[in-house]
Amino acid sequence: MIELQGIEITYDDFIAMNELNITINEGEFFTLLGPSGCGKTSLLRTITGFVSPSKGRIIIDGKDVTDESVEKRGVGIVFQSYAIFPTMNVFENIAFGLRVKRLSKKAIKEKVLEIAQMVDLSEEHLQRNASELSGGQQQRVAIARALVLQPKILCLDEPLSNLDAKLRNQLRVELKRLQKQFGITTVYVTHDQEEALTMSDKIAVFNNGKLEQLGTPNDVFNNPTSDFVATFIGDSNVFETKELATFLNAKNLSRPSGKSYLRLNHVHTKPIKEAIELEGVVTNVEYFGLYSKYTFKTVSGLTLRNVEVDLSNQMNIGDNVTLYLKQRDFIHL
Amino acid sequence: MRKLLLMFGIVSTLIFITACSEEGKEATEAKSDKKSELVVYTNQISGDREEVAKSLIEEQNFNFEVVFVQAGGGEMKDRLIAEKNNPLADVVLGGSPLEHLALAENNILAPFTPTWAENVDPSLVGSENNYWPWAIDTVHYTYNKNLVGGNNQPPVPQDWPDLTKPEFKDQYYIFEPSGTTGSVLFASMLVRYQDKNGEHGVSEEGWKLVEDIYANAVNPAPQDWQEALKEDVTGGFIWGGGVISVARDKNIELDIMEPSVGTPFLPALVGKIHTGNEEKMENAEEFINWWGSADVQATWGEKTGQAPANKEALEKIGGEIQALLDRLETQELDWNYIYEHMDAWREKMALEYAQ
Amino acid sequence: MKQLINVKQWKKNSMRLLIGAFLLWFVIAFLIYPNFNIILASFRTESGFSFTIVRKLFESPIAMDGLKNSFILAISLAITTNIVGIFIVLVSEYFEIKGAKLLKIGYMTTFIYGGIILVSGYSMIYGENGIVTKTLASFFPNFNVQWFGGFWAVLFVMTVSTTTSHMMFLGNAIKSIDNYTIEAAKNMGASSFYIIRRIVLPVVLPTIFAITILQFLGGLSAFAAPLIIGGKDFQTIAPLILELNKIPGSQGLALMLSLVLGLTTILLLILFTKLEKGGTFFSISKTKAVYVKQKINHKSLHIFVHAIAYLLFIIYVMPVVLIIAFSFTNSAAIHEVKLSFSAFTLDNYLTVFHDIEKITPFFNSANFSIQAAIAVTIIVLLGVGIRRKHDNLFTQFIEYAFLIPWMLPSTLIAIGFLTTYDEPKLIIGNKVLIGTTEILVLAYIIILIPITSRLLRASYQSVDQDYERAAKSLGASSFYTFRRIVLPMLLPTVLALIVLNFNSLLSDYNIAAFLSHPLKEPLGLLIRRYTSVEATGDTQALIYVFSTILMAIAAITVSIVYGWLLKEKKK
Repeated sequence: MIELQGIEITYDDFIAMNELNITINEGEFFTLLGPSGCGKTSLLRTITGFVSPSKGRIIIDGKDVTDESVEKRGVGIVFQSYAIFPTMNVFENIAFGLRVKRLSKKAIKEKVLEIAQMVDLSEEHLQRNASELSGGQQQRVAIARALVLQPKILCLDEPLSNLDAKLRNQLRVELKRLQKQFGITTVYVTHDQEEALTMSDKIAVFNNGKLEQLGTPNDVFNNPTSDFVATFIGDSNVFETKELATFLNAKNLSRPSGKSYLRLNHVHTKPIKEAIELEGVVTNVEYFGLYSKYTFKTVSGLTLRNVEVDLSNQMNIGDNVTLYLKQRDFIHL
Repeated sequence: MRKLLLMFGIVSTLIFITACSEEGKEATEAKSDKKSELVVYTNQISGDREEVAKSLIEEQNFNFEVVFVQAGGGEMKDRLIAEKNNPLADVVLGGSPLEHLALAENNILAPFTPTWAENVDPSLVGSENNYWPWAIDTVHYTYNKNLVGGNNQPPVPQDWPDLTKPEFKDQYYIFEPSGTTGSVLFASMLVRYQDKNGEHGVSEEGWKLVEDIYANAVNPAPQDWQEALKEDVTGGFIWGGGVISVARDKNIELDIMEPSVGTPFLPALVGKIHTGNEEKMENAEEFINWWGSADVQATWGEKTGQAPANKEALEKIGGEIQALLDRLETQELDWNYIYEHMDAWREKMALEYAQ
Repeated sequence: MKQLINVKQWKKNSMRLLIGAFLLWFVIAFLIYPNFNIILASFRTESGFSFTIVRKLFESPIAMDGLKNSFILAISLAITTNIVGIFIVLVSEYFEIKGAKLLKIGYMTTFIYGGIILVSGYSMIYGENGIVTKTLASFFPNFNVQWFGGFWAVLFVMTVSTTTSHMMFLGNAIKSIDNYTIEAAKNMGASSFYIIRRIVLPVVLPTIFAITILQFLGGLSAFAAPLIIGGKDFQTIAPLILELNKIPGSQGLALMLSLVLGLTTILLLILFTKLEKGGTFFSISKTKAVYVKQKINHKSLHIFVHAIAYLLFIIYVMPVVLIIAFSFTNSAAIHEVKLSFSAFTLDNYLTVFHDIEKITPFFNSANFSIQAAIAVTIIVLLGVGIRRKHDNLFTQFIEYAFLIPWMLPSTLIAIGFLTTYDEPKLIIGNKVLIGTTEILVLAYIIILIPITSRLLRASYQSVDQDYERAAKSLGASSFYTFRRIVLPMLLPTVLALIVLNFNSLLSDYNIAAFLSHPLKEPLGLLIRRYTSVEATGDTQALIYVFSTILMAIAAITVSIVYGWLLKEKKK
């Protein structure tokens, strides 16, 4: 569906994106994830056509669109601010693109009503001013406005940032539902790993203008291929591999000099099979309601953190514990 | 948005209507009367005088329409000079020798001799017959008779240097030299101190006088000098016609200072613009011949208080106006000398003395 | 297909090229060429281009004092007007004040009058015969009735009379603040004052910068107030510039002084632009709360703000009331500031209105002014718009060229037009502009360009570019986006500017005296005929009559725009 071939984006001397090759498949929810300044927004703007790449080609649906202008690419965009036109009501906002296309009044009305219904906007909503909408309604208007033109691709630029946590969770679900319902290829930009993990079919993780890893949420979470991905996504215990040599069989390590990572959920306080056992003491407890996070200090001097979902297993600072780790849960990079 | 469109509609219709009606008016007039316009730039047809001029013109019923464009003397002159490659005016009515000498220097005026040429003082006519006097204005220092000469009052001033005495501190207003009255009064002071070696042809003594006149004048200048003459100040600059009209309108007993060297007489001049359009220049001549004639000037003088240059007219009017002129000594003014230096004088006053 | 697209692309580019070419032509033909001509002519003296001009100015105590005072006034005004301006805007738009609507109308009186008449109005209250002065003198027999003069009087009058741009532009900016941000701040325990300082002001800072530059320029070119109430010790430079400009050989001096003022303003502008960089805050809230007026909870503060608000209201409204009232009297009553039945007269209104010929100039001027006010908005919108799209040397050049008229006295601009276009010139298609009505409209456009471009630019900057991107992504052309999205958002500023510009031109004399068409007398010349120092008749009373008529026209236009066109829809 979308092929990015050797894309490089530069602003004056600054390289925002290094030679990048990605293919996004039809119907996929594809997320560009990374901290701010990693080049993900530049890349999205390149896909949408607001920024021209200094090198490389963009192919959409088999057609080279590198030199095509924004409106000819068949890309719908939802902006970070939603950019709901404040001088128009909701109906006019959604109808905007149709009017540009000079559709008949009747056709416009039909299409607007149809899409409004699909995104759960009532007729009463349609007559409201943009300033009278809630955040969720604004998102729906922004999406409806983009989708009413039946684009091949929907691009969303951090649409859930600057919203409170509850609304964000709610809209995340709704957004995913709409995407599934329309089955539209979606490129989604975010810096929030939770959003990326919960919604995406595929995630591309960027850092400093470089693609760090591309894979399914499961891949990037469980099999990070770089130090950056391992620390940026999910919470991990990080060690110098050398430190671990005493309890891990050093021969099994491909690179004994690097770093090793262990996800918090892989530190167990209850016995499991084929585990390494470590004696330690609880040094800190963080209570999160649904789960708690503990920090331990082992006798051998390692600091380990874990997530305890089983709230019946309460521990206090100073308690002695035995920790169980599986050697294959370690990731060595 | 709909309101806005409506508004734009209204505005554009308004513009359209004014444009149409103007054009329509011009068109119908052109058809019915075939009257061409004669554009007269003037600094004289202000205030009440406009009515007088209009009714005189109406009576005469020229076969052209007289259009007055009124502006201050300086602006009128500057505009005529700026337009010299493409003149819009046909006649310049009013303006002192200072303005007309500048116009003559820029070859804007066409020489001619009006029918009333013999009735005016030839010394006031342009050297190439390119401008002619039609009225004689005088400019003065005036004072409220009730506010000077008494106990605890400043003395009756006899000449300009009197005003520089401490008793006159804040007792009078002045006009800046940007207007005709102010410029001619200051010039009349400065020409008395001609000195080839002095700054701008004026001796130090002359400049001291001007500086002190400025220093003693009331500041800030009154917003309404006519009202101020009632009691706020004892006197100030004025033109001849003003003495009569202000005394009458404000019911003030005004008198004028008569310096021993005489009073500056200031001809109001008229000139024909060299437009190159034969018909218009003929009309211009017709208008000037009519304007300066004894009958017209007699009526004009009677109604406006402006003394005609035409001796015949002056005698017809007689009365207060003639009496005033007869009573006054004329100060010899070397207009060429003043014209030569006036700009430099004004600049010096603006930069060094003005308030 | 490919070719078709190219044709379309070419069409779009050619549209841009066309706009660029038009702007370039306009700037060169009307902003640079005639002004450059007159600058050369002004500096050319008999002894060639010389430095005597600079020496003369340095040796002139009047010029030096005038410049010094102008700068003192400009700096003081930039501070005091911002204080008063921000206060009255807060009172009318931000705080919950009893009678805020009435107060707002009072504060808006500066929209409808200015210049000499405004200062006259203030003199009738605080001047020698003024109402306040008389009252004070009756209580304190030793009271100095000439107390109202000099720097402080000038500063006072100019401070309360030049808050127009605050009311016009700051109010809108404040209304666009997201109420959630204010509530959030309150929630974190911030005081009203702290919220204003840390939340409200930063958001409206670009607007305040834009206004401050105008304020500064207004202070530098202050004319009427120092002239009438400045007294011996506080005269500014503008009257000197005007006087020098009328002396044929001294225009170089006038120009030099003007350049000093203009360049200072532009330096300030560049400084502010630097400060502004990265300082433009867009609201990033998605769920913007509709703006709500804030209560002042602190009791004594509540009373204090109300008291000051109403005191300012009285200060603002009194001069207008007096001018209108005294326009029905004669000059004696005006001079003495005494209203009485015996002085009541309609004669002056009859003088103005008794024949149709005296009404025509109103229409002429209205026509010229509205044309110029609309045209200048369009031209500036093109310039500002193209600068936003393409930030390059060319567009920067256009933007700075728009500021040229700030550096020249307006009469000099008029003379430059006359002397440049008095014969066929290729650059304007071999037309002669003298003797057309266009020349006056063009000159009006030129003098309005700097202020219009500053204010429109500030307003344009506050439009988030995402709106334009969104429209583009939905297939709209640049023009369509501009027409449907940007223009409606700029509308309050555009309309306010049209009204402001229209009213400022209506009674213009300085430019009309040079450029008016003989058969289309503008209002400024008519007024001058009746009110010049050397005119006979009841000139003072007529000044009040004309001022009242002009105020009425201004009030009507302002209320059309604010009371009707920009009225928010009732829910």
